[in-house]
Amino acid sequence: MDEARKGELERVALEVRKDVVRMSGVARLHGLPSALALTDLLVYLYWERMKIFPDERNRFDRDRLVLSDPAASPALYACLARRGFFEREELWSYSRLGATLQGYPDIRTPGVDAPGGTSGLGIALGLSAALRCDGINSLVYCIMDTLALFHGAVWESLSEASSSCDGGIVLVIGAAAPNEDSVSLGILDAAAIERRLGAFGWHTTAADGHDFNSMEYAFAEATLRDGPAAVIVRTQFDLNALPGIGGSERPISADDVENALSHLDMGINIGGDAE
Amino acid sequence: MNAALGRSYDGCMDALCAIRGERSDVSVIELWDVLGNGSPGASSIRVGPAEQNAILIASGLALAGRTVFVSIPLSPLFVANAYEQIRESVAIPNLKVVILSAHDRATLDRDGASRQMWEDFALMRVLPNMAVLAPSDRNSAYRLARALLDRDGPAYMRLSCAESPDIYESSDCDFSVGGARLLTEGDGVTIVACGIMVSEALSASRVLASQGINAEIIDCYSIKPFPEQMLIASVRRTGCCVVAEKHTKIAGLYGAVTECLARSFTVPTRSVAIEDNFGQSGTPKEIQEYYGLTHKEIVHNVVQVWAMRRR
Repeated sequence: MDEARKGELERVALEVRKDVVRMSGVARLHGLPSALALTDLLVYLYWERMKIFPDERNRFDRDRLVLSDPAASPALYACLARRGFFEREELWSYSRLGATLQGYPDIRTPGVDAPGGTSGLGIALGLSAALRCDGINSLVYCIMDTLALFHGAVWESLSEASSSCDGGIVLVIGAAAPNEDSVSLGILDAAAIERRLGAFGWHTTAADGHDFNSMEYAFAEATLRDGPAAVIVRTQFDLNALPGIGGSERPISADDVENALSHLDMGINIGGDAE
Repeated sequence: MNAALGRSYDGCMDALCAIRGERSDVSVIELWDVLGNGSPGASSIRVGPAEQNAILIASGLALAGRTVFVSIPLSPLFVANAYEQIRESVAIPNLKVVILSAHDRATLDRDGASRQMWEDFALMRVLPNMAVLAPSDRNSAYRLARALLDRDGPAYMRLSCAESPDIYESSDCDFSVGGARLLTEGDGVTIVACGIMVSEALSASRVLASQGINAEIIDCYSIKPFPEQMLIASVRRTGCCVVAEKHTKIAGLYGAVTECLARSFTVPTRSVAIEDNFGQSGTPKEIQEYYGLTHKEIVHNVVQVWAMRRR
């Protein structure tokens, strides 16, 4: 990826992050690290990787995205709005009564390809099987977080894919850098996920979820595979970088939003250097 | 009545085989290879005993525009096992996924309470968008499987692996989701039944006729959407009602009937069903007798309710 394009994507990601912060402020959410950590990944997929047609959003040969990490839905919506699936104004009614943008993705929302639950991998497998049967080479991306790996249904799907999947699907696991909490909860780190997926017959590649070049390399490799392929995207979100936003006990206030937006504008590196 | 015997499960499987040959946009998901090898790819998928994954794959196929039948006859527990997936990935997005189950395979009743899922209507009926069907013979099962092709949204159809007398001719095609059939007309009592209890209701009506009570029998194969108008018109004539189903007394067909009557036209109503208890091991025939799912029990309840009928 050339530097100009990289800079362009970084600018888009910054705007998407700012929209996510504004959305969470308007919706009075209690922090949203997951949405901010996955912003670069979603921007990379929607601007660089996926075949999408906002003007013909039901075109059958489009790529599909199954978001199996519902906490990331604000970032998905902010991306979809900027890609022209709906008006950006819709973002400000996110998760409100009567809103187009439901808390968990709903297939009635333009641009949303699948319902957003915690075990979307099986849905992605079914979508991919149907597309391949119809001779369509579209790809299905499924994004999940490490918490999803606690769900039994996910392991059923991981096991099923190793015997039936012959490509056409890329599982993306957003793996936050381990901390004391995640270790005590038994949340797998990137290396452990790689080992387990490998044991199930998945090909895995790792990427830095805040480095577009790294993601480009990893996704190019994953999509070349004939069997089930996963990209483990390491993410980092510095909760201290955005006071009041990350994992707060109280709803985000207007001041928190202003504060966070100015931090983002000043170039605080939310992603950090993921390792 | 035609005396030939058949299984509603077979009727539905015959329909699936025919549909698969006619329609390229229909997929069948099985745990095991029951139907025999279909064409490879998305038209026939076997997933092994992984019910949650089966429902998720069905959801994905339906999102790509397919009509999906999920056939899990050996695993009646599957509605409980995969409930989260049914609710979140099929019912909420209102996808065209038909879940087929058979609850009375002989081996399952031998296994006892753990495998006797007599709460399935209740679990499925409370899900918005979900249709719930229970055909009474192989011919209606065949037709209903076909009728589901024309309906958008998810459905649950409970089939029977026990042989029962044919109630309809194979050429009879007057079945629809939300419909019901008036099998006998009468002015003494309305008997609403579904599944294997329809033939018991017909036997009961012959006994009742000899006692001077003319029963009006409704085969209520569509528990949801519920055929309200037919029921209300019938109880207006008869003034009392008995409901017969192989299900617990809570929130199944009896629940649907009493909710409807409470809204529109209350009449004394009784239930012939399983008490609020779990089952136990036995043969299907023994279980049916032990839990009172018989024409005798229907007659007994009719006599009681008839004495209190609304005039």
